[in-house]
Amino acid sequence: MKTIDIITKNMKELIRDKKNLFFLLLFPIIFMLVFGVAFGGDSTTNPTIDIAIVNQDVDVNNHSYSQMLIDNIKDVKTNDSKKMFNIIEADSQDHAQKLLESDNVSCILIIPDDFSKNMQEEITKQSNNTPQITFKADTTQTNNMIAQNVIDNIINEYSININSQLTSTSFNAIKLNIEGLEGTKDFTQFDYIAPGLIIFAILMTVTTVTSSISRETENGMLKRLKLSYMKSSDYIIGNLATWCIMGIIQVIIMLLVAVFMGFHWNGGLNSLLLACLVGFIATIPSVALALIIVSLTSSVDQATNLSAIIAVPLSFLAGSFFPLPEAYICEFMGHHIQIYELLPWNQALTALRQLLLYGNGIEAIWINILLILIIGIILLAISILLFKHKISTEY
Amino acid sequence: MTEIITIENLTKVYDDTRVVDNLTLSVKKGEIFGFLGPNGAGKSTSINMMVGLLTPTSGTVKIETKEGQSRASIGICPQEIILWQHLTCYENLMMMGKMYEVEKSILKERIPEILQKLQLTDKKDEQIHNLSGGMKRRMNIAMATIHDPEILVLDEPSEGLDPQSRRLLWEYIKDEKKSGKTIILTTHLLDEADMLSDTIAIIDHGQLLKMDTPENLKKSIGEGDILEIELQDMTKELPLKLEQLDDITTIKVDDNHLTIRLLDAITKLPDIIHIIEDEKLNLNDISIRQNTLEDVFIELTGRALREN
Repeated sequence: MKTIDIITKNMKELIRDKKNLFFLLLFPIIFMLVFGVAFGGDSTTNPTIDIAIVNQDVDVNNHSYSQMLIDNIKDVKTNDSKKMFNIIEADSQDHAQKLLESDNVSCILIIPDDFSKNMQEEITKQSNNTPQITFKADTTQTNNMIAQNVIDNIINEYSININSQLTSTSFNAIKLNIEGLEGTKDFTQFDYIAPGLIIFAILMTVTTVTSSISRETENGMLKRLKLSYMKSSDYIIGNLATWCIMGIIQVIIMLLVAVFMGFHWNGGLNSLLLACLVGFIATIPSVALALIIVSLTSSVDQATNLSAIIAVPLSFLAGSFFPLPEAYICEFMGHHIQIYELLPWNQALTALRQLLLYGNGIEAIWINILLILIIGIILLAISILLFKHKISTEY
Repeated sequence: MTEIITIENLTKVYDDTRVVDNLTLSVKKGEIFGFLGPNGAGKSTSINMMVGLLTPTSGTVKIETKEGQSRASIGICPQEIILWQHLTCYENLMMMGKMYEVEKSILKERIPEILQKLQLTDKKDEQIHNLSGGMKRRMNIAMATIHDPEILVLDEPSEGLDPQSRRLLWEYIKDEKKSGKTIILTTHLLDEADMLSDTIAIIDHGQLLKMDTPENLKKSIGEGDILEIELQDMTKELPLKLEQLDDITTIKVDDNHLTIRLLDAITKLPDIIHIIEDEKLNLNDISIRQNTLEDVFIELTGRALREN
């Protein structure tokens, strides 16, 4: 019951404290508006195209036709002698898809396991299985259109080259399958950034919560409350719940602003509800981080400054604003773990993109939710211990 | 009266410094207990240990209220104004009452009563940040009494109050006493402590220097009046000649200033002036007053409370 009273009190204070509300809601909204204006139009042209190549090809007689093809792609230069493709070799189609969804690459090239075998058979005319390669991208984007054309050309040249070496037989061209990405034909850069800005808003909660709790600690309110029947757990749970509710409100408001600015929201009410759930859960580590900061500092100014120093870089590390580079640390269950994937906010961002951008359901994000919960609970446990220690030593 | 708080050999040590040193005292049920001491004397530390906010290094605190040792039997009004700035007066009291598990129906009756006593009724729905400093201070006190505690600790409650608000506060404290509460009052205002307290404890360097009723404390440094004389010059003979007079208790000389404690100062005044004239000294100022707690304080600590 006291927890509900604390939530009610916190919500009233939040709504009435205009300055806090500005930092909590308007500040990220302004970011959303600015980014919407800046990146909401047509996709920008990029001279270097990031491409994920999934090479599943199996060598035939120690000869790899696919590797030769990849080398050709690597060698393509732009007019100003720069490499045209920045190639990221993906382990699997899932990995490549993830790279695409996290905006690390803009297109995928899939070479199937029977590519060399079919090439060999086609050359020797042992069968009529045409070697095939799949190109996956949002082909309405200028960069991807260029990439598709260039790769098509490379394949043709490659085929011609092989043909020229053959004396007795002729070689039919490699088939390039083009697969458009479901629901991505109108994507803009803003579509990738908007979920990141929602995560940025959730991370800004760290600063607001830190300021709010450290103020109550410094001005003696906590001491006053400690004399009552209120327990530390009432206080922590009350604050946690308040801010988790704020997390939901932030997701809804930010999404509405994003849609207003041209965000292509895929998925219906279900994806919105799941996004709210992600916002709720992603606030847990934010509150935990705030409690840790309050526990380790001795004044409101110190705590607020430290929270800003931590929260802003975390937004970048979580991938809120820019795609993150490969930062592989280990492999787990066939998945290459990147160091930033250990951040719960990165998991939340991936989940939000899955929900809002690709219209996927719970089956696509349950692992992200699980990871956010696990990391969030670990952080929360640490923060409770530190906060309780601080209260018991100071009062 | 029975003891409601009994402290025995209470000690608090911080980094080899004994902030509170073997403090032993008792507070009687229903009295106003004045706690006096210079800054850093150990008052707040002692109070924090009394109310259970701080664990003593050694010693015991025994609280005998209806609710036993429960913290909820104590209401503490800190020196700093601690309120939720964006809640109204009513909401602040309601929230604090709920934290003390006071029933909502009781709170609905009690809050208007408290606000009325502290003349804050018309500010009931005003957010705290819109109130004046004096109103906030009164709200600070209201927050300490919302759960109707048996013991009320008021730490410098008059700090920053205008004379009118101070009188209102004094009336409120007297009312609370009448309703059976035990009040522990720390104040820098010695006249406030003198007027309100039934018992006064003076502490310095964490030690209890003296504890008694205000009257007994004043008597303890000598009965009678105090005569303050400011001269243009001073002779060595003057104090010696004044000592020859009857009923002079003590004479203190500080440059050209004389502080004479004596019985029936009015009658003795012509003789004293006569001796000063004999010494061919000129008077700058002369005043007669009764013993105050300030004198007791100076006697015990060697300095005035306002000098801290």
